[in-house]
Amino acid sequence: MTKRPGGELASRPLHFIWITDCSGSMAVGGKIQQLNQAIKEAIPHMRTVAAENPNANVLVRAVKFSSGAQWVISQPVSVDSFTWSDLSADGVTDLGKALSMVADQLKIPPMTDRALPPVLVLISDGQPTDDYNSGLKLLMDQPWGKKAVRIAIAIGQDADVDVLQKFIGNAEFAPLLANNPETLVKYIKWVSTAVLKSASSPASQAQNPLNPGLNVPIPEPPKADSGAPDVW
Amino acid sequence: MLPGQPQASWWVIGKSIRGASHLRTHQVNQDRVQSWQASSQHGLPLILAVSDGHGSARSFRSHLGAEFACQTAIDELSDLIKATSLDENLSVVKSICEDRLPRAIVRRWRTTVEDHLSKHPFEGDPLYSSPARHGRAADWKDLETNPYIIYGATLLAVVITSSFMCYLQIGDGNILVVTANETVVPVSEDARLFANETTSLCTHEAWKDFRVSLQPFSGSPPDLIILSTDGYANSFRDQTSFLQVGTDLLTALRTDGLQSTGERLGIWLTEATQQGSGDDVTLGLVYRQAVLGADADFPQPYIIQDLGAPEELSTLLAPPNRESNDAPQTIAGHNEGVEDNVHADLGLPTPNSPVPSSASEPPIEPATQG
Repeated sequence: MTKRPGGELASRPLHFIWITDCSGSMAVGGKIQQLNQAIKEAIPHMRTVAAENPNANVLVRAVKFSSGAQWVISQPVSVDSFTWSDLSADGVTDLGKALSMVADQLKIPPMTDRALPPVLVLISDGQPTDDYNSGLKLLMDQPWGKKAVRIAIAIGQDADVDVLQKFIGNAEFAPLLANNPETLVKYIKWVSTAVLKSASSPASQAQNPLNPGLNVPIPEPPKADSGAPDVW
Repeated sequence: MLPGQPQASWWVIGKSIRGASHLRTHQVNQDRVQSWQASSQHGLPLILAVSDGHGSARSFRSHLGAEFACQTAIDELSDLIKATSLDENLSVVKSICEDRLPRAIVRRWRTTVEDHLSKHPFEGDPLYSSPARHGRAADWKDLETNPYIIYGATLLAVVITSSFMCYLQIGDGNILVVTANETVVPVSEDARLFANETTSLCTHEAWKDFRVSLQPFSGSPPDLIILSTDGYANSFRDQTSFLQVGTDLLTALRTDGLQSTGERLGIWLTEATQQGSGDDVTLGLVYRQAVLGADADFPQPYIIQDLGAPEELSTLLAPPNRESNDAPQTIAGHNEGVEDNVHADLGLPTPNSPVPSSASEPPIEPATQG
């Protein structure tokens, strides 16, 4: 009896990348501690969503940027093995460097064209200090960079929302503004669950050159926590 | 038939499996496969069509769009067969296939959609306001100006006559042409089919997005032609692993025969969606056997579609109105009163034997050459 036709079967990889600002200003008002805590709290929820869809192989990485940029988790790690080590804040805001490093990892190869669209989550409280446009161009020059789900969270009122909007690249979806820890927790959980779930669906979308950001429908984000005072 | 060649028989096998993720979320199968063969003697001409409804929340009737797409392809391609004679200059046929056929298919598909919409306005559809309708209102705005998105689907089709083979495709999915030594892709690549995005029958000027290849029926016709939806290729680790399907299936058909291979397709495709993409998976095969052998009693064609449990099927699974009664009747088995050659498994106990082919119109005499 002949064997099953074809070579090896595999679920589709879904790369989820945290791009986190660790500049000195993130130390002000406990922002970096709150971010560390929010991501740690989101991990079990992220695992639950991933477990509900075994056909998406969720792989997590993290890159931090301050004076330069550095992979915190350099190799894609399964969400089941993903842990978060607390980041500390120091230095300037070299966002462009971080984006160029992400762009490098989204090339095909090492990425495969059969992957699910990656999810890139940029979290920042300030203004880039390097040539972020060059890094963003490198990212958007990659097919997977262009088609990635790009979410941006601005922590505090000093964040440069124009830069974050350029990162998103879709005027219909604005950066999320977190002016207190409660709202930050909400947004981190939302991106770790609702956005992850949407990105892991195999549904196709009719190509629309006029609205290119539709390859993954972005769920409605939660409202900011209006009961908590703005502290950032 | 070419002079000096033994009579070949042409078999059509199809299987459509509901995706693992659709089983988990209780969604119906968005894929369809349908065929038409003029002769009951396993001859030419024949048509095979496969379609993949987009399945996204906005395309909440895409299972119907896929059904309409397959029927439209069968209707238009059978019209093409009737309209082209054997002595037709192939360059004329090529021109028809590349220029007129895509427009005709899109036009007929849209007419069918419009007809369905007029009877079942989408605003009243519970799926329009279902929990699946999450996300930004802006994502749904263009349904008002382009309601075809609701039915969005791809289409892959092949028509084989004794003078030519024509492959056509819009959207994702794969067509493979297999001989003993190699597997080739007959249509050009489309770099836009990436990251869940696909060209579609529902988009503006969709006919421009068709990829068409016309090949003369020459001395070495293919042994096997494979049409599959993207859920199948996406279930393999890489393209090489997927392309291996071509020669492996040909080996299976030659070694184990049609009956055994046809019966195991379901197991193979289920394994693929469970361990792979989770998407609906559909495979349509045209197999050329050099000599009619022991499989002469095998039902022709042998197509089984797992659409979903009855309670999960939309009440809107109404068949499209047909413009003409002489269209081949090969639509899925949920169309009451339509004698067809497709068996739809509605979640009820599967019959031991497949439904035999039965044409509802006098068969067109297969064309002969020379």
